[in-house]
Amino acid sequence: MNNLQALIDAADDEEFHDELRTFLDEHVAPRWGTPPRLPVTPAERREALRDLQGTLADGRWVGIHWPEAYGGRNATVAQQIIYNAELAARKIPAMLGHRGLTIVGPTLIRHGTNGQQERFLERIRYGQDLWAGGFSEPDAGSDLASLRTRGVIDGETIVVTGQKIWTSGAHFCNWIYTLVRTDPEAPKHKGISVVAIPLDSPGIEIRPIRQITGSSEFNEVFFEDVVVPTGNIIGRVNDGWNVNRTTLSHEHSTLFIGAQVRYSNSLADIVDLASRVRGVDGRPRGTEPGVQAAIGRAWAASQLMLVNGMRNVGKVVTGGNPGPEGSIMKIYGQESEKALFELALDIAGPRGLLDRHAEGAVDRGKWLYGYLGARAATIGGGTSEIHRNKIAENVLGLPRDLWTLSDASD
Amino acid sequence: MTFRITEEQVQLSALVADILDKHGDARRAYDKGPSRDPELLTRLAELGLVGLALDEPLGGGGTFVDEVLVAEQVGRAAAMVPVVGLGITTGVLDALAAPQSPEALTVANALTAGGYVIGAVSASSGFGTGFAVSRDGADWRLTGTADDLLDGAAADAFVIPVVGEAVEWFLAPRDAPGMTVVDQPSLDPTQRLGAVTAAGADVRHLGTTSTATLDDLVQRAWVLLAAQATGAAGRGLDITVEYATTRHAFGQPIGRFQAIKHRTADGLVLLENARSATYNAAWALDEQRADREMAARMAKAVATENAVRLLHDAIQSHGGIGFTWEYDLHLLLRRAKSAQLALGDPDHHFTALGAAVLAPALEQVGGTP
Repeated sequence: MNNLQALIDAADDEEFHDELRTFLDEHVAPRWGTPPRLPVTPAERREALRDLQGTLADGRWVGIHWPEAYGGRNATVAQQIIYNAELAARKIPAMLGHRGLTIVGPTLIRHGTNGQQERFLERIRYGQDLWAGGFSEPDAGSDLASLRTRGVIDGETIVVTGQKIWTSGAHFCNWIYTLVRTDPEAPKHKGISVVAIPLDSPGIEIRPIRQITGSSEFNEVFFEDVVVPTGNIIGRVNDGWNVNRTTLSHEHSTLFIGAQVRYSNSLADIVDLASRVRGVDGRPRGTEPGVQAAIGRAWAASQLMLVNGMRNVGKVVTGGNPGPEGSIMKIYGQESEKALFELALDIAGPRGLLDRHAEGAVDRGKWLYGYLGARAATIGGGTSEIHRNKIAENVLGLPRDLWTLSDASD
Repeated sequence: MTFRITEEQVQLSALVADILDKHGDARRAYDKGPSRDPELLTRLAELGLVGLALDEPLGGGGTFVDEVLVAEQVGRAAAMVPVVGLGITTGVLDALAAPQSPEALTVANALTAGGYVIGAVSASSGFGTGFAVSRDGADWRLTGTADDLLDGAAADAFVIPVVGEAVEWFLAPRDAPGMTVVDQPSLDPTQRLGAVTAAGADVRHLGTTSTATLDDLVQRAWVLLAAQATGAAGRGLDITVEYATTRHAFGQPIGRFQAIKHRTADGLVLLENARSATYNAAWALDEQRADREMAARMAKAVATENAVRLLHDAIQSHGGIGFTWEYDLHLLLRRAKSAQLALGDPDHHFTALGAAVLAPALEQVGGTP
């Protein structure tokens, strides 16, 4: 099935779809092309994406799930599906400021002061401010609530000291949405606050982390007596754990579309790869039954991501709660992504292992990079083990882990 | 395109579950009893739950999705209901061009009244069973053998295809002169295979369809097997959750230990994928979607493979008691494993899917899948 068209048809809101298409045809396509032609170097590409986001924001086509009063469209789940599918079909990349749109913006809309909303929301929609997320610490990963970066309130200021890690994009963002411990005496979930900190503040040092791929997308961020006005605290002091859990209703139920589209596109590339690369018998690898079976499994996975997602959306649209599909999609999608890139490298064979500069390297080492990079799929955004615990406890109702019984602060 | 089970369909599932819970006694078949339960089938038929996907004039009016939901519940209860055999007959009747022959209408009436009219499909070779027919005046004589017809042991009559340029369909009563049916005991005693020999058997002609009908029918059979496996998996997971919550070891419910907990969470992932694959295929067949063959293959492969894995895990999570005859887990495993191996195993179907996905790219480089 043509996945994106199927999604749009199933969502069934022609008026909305027409309005979106008209806008993209009139304002985006003439300037950038379809798919958009974007510069290759990271800095230039970011500027172009910011520009593109601005055009979309002018038409109120950014953060459509936000309430209308804040520049959104209060979009229904069906409309969010159409929006995500239409943009994906035109290969318009994810918004540059997506963390602002999905985490910071909704949190400010729910918990921010009028002043904070005026100061930040418009700039988030336009991608003028880019937000990094200050969550994990060296000793607080899966167990995020045990974070120790301190925030000491002193009159009109809060002084932040500590370290965050795995902060993606900190080297080009200008703000960091940071969880800090403001009450070390309170139970661990009850002494945390959320603070917006400019990344150019004195006392902040950003060090890139070199990954197993050899490149650096994540950073360590060090805070040494960083002084921030208390006006930058989002929500009530010490209520940060709850504040941070805010999302706009049902927004997450449509996020599968991007993941599914990326997976399907990669699969299409791998199918092409299997027709080009030849095995030891001199025939295309795609003629081998083992490769065919593996491709068949990968194709099934791409379909399952779509159907799982749509079953979930079907429930939400009709007023039900998102079902277990939401929780399982994360695990299944991540495990499938890892398997897909391993399959790609296996098909590419020994020449797929060649460095990108080497003579004869398959697709300039793309699959090698993909294979190593995909190891992060089941680690970032909560390890698969954490998600298995969530499914077992929250969906199946199994007893909580033994350690939680003695964890009085929990 | 549909991606939703309706409220009416949820109620249908609940109704079937309730009937099977009260009257579906799978255990009888395990004690050398008959592999059929006519009382149960009549009860289902009286509520209109047999032949649901028949065209309305034939006494149906439901959808294939409805039939799939019934099959899921049958699998869940490991009940003695020959859903594949009945489903094939339903599909054949729908495929015969209207107006149907009087013989076909008789078959429809028998089916919806709870008769064991089994559409003949071989577990190992599908419709490639090679029956032949000859004319004897006004009568028809059927010759051929098939030793592993799905649900065949329970049949009162078979609906059998004779495949040429078109497909001629015949009704072969079990007790017709020249028919021999042997009960083939196998892994799942509740849905036994039948070995059929027709030696010039006296049969009645039902009508003619194109050979494309066979593709449609085998796809239905895949999905009905997938649905039963999904149902078996669902109950297997429920039983495991219950056990993990109540069984204590080292002073704790065993579900508190991550070795059990994570395997059970994986079970839910396996189950929901089985459901998604199965429902997607049912929707694809009802809506005659262009991708229906691939959707049906995927259902067969994913649902049966996932169900078997989930049930293996379920037995492991139970420890010794999971290995006992009295505990129901093996009934479910038997149903799922039988569904997995009938009509092509998961590797066969995944390979076929991969070949189809690869075909356009391979053609471009002059290769063949």
